[in-house]
Amino acid sequence: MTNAIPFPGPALRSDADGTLVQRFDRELAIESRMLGKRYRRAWALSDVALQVPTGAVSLFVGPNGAGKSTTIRILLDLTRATTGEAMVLGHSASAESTWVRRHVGYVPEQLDWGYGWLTVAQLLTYHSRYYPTWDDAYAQRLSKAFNLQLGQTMRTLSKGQGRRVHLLMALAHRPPVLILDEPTDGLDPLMREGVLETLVEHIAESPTTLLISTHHAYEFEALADHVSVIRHGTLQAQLPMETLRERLRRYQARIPAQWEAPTAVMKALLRRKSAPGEIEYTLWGDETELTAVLEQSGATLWNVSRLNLSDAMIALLDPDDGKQSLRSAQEDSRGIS
Amino acid sequence: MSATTVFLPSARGLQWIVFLRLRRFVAWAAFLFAAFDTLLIIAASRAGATTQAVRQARGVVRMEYDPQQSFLLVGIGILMCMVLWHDDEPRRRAYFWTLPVNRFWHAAMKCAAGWIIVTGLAVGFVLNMMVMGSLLAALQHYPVVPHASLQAWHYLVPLVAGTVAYLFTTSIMLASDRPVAWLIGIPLTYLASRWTTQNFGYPRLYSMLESLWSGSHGMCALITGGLTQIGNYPATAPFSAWAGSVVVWSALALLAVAGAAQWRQRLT
Repeated sequence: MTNAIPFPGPALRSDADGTLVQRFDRELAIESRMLGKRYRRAWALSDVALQVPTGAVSLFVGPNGAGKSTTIRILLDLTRATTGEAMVLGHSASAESTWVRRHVGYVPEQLDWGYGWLTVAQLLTYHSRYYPTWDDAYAQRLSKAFNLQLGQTMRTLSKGQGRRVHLLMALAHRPPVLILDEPTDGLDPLMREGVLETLVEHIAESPTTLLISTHHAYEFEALADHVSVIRHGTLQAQLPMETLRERLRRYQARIPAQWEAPTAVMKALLRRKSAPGEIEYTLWGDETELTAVLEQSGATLWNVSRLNLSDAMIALLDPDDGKQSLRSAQEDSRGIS
Repeated sequence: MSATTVFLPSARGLQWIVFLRLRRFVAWAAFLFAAFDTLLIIAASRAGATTQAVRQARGVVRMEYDPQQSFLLVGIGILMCMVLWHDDEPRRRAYFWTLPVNRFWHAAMKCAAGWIIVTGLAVGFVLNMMVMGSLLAALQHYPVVPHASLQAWHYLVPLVAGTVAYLFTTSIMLASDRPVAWLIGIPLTYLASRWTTQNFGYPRLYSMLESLWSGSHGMCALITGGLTQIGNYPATAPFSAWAGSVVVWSALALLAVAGAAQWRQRLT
């Protein structure tokens, strides 16, 4: 395979305290190696090494166009990677794609998935014929829990109702892996709550690995134990939630005039806000060490706080809002004003 | 269950879903035939009430089977295929392609399930023409005399014409991300090429292109059975010429479908 256009750059980023993209040495349900996808002259994905340990609930987070859906499509052989390979339950996503699709429950991003001219009941009957492990009793239970109108045609359903049908189709054959692409898109808060409860019950009943692609990470905060962050087709972070909670902190401090941030702080910096005489840094690393470094530099810390998942995602996604990224911060030898 | 097992879809399930998809199309086709038949029957009943002399002067209301009517089945084959694959466009990575079965066989079996319905319509069409021919004759009191040049195999012509059109359209629907552009583009390109080669001095190329349509094994022979002007001009092509065109075009159409289905085994 020729690569006329080079990769934009390596995905791995590290700081003084270790990497943001971790490699897990546990058994993996989903794994990709050097995954790249090029559409014409643009790379949609480059060097993505996604890993989801067996039994984990992993959030796959990123802004629109980050490459989440492309990665998922490669996992289900709905598109082929330009470079690298993807494995699901130890099987190649391309060479053994039928086997993989049989063992994966999938909720796609698109809402017109399925046949709009079928009734819900007809679509479920048809769908069930493709899955030998389809559990009819469970499907009926889910249908009641989701309050589905089985006689309605798919095209007359609201976004939320359609999403619930898709979820039922993904869950009722009790697959060992679930890949949900924006599963709560279009659901009202009440139904979102219901769906999350159903997912929790499902995981409790049938051991399942979940990969949930979402813009709204906070919705799954209670459920998730891993998170992968992708931006511009590159994996920015891949961590257990526990590590994320332990190592990501917001530090607020007063600083003297002419204060310069120590190198150790600059290396750990993900986001920053500053006002005259004050800083608010989001840093990645050991809290005790970073606190000590900041205090030694002359800063007076007045608050160190944990970030909620939403803020953590914003820090990791590093939006182009004028703040410098970790990499550019490392390159910036002038420090901050 | 080994990972190398070839997972196949349920043929019954697929036939059921294809029927559900096409039932409205079939119902409309049947309704249009029935409406047309009804109008003819009404007209024939009125004509039947007139005297023999008036009928001779005005002519009778007739509807007889003619292989040239197979062009209608070509249109039906193309339209039906477009309806069938409309929701399953490969470009959209639609539902069909996410199902956990071998994609080549899945596409081939869906194509076969649709073909059964196309064939059913073709048979219905021929039967309708035969029944209506007899009915109109009875209503107007004239004898049913099958045209001398019409042979038994001519009744198979619509079936084959519809099948070949359906298969070629299937291959385009499967292979292309812009099937409508191809369906319009191919005949237009053919006509433009014929015109260009004819008018800019490429006689050999022109005759090759011409034979694709009107050669002894050309598409026209396949669609009309070589019986181009029944009624006025009784000359017919022999069965062997038609059978030859059936073999050539059916083989090409099947190869096109197989190639397209194999191509869609992987979505690029």
